[in-house]
Amino acid sequence: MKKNIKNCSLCGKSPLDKNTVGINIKLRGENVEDCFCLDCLAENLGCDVQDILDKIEEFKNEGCKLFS
Amino acid sequence: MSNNVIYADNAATTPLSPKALEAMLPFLQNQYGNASQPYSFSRSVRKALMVSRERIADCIGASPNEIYFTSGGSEGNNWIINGATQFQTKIVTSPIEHHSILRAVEYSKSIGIDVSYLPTSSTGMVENDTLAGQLSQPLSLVSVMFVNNEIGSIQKISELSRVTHERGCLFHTDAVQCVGHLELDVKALDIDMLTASAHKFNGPKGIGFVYIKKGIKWPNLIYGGSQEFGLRAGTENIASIVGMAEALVENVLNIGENIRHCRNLESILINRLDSSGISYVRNGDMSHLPGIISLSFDGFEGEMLLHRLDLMGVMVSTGSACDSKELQISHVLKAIKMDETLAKGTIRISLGRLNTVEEAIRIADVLSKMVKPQPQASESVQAYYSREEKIEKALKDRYYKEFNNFNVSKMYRSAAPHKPVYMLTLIEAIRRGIISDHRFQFTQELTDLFNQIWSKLVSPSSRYTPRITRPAFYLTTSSFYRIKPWEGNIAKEWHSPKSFAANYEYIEIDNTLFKLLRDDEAFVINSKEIFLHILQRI
Repeated sequence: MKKNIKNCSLCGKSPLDKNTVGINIKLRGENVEDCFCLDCLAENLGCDVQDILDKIEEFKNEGCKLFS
Repeated sequence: MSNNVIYADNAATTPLSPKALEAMLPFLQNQYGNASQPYSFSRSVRKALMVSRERIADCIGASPNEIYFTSGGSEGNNWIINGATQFQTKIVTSPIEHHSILRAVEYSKSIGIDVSYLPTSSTGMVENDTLAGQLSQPLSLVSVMFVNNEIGSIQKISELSRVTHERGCLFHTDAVQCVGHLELDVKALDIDMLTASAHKFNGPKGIGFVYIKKGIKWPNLIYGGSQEFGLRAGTENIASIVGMAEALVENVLNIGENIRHCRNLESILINRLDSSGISYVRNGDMSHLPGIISLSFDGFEGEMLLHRLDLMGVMVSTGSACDSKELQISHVLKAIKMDETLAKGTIRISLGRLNTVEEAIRIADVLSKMVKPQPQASESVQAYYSREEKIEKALKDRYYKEFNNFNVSKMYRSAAPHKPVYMLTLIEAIRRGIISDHRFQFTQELTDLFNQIWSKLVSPSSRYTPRITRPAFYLTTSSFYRIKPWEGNIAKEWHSPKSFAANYEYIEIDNTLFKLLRDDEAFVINSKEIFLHILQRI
């Protein structure tokens, strides 16, 4: 199945940027078929959006190519 | 550390003991003299250095002049390997060592030193059958870690050192994960050299020590002053040395209690995971450091689990890591030939003496919620079930492996019939409905059944006596079996079945194993065959 990564599959928010798609892959698995926006992802995982933003920063600093 | 953080990565590092911190403070403040200076201002510092060396030596059964302070485990390990390289000796090691051994050995090999690796079993045990043949005259160095940092397996150090010494060679062990966690006596184990690091046993970071047996002349690590008996020059880090000694003494004094505590936490966590109905594979050997729990989840990525646990305030480690290009699987998981899919889904939970029961429960709850199968709309039913089947097979294989590895009688050094007969008893009791739950009582009916099976399968001339309490207690070395004493009672063998029944609230096996023994005919047949095969060998 083609990945639906253009909009949030829960609230429909679009477009989703590269970092949002990257963190979905990191936190939901590389085989994830759809993406959540940061708000929906935080709610889904039971954490704060800021925690996810901190994670994105760390991945970027590590040089992970999923992020820009 | 914030209050809502659960630190479960004690194999990576441990929190500093408050006692150690208190002991260190004077040497970070007023008592800053250089221990090498002869004036009175340094007297207390010199004394602290001497006493710390004595205390540390005492903890491992060594003499003070056999203890050399270093900056930690990596420095110590490099010193030993580089020393062997300077002597041009062959180096024999295992593929599951820490990188501070492996990379140093790789360098030695690159400059022409003869290097060989001992094979490792799928449970992470270094096999010593080929050791004697790998040792070359006049001298070789064997370096095998005491406890593996990823899967916790405890190596047969005394056996390895015995074989090494029979060939007149030297034996070193990287005991970084062992010192302060297991009872250790370098003389009893006949160890020539040993490496330790303070921050693994609630001491400060940046300090460790190497034990070198008296009489072994090892090359210098750092040339300069006369510190560390002239082998490692440089002004001593007194505060850290004092903190290390304090932390080690504290841990060693409470070692039995700490082991029981970690084993209890481990049991609670595993039991909770089993009760949640999730599927996982437990890695490592029955003989492992209590508290180190390596788990693999098929269909999940370890790195994903690590980050999601982190978001829930739970700190663990993973057996795989993503660099900028691809997922890297740890050298240990590769060496034990773990299935790649499972290796990718591996995490390490390492509990320490400061973790609590509530934390163990919370870790299990967060983890099981995370890995509970939640089929996505895009996931086909077929794919889902094929994953389930794969997990079930892995689980069964894990049990078969444990059954096959039932340990031997320490007295006779051969397989004893107690555990196989006891397992056959449990199987029969489950099949007959005498045991109807994974948690059950120790009863007279169970004892009678055990005696019946014993008399049927064990020769009357056997040197062993049919005492059910023995396996009922010692099967706790298996990861699937636990016994719970009544509050206030101690866990021990209790020779009579009546005393055993009175002192234990219940016996428990993994719920998954119970269901397999109750419902899965093929699993029961295979398991029985394993136990009967063991009995035939006796």
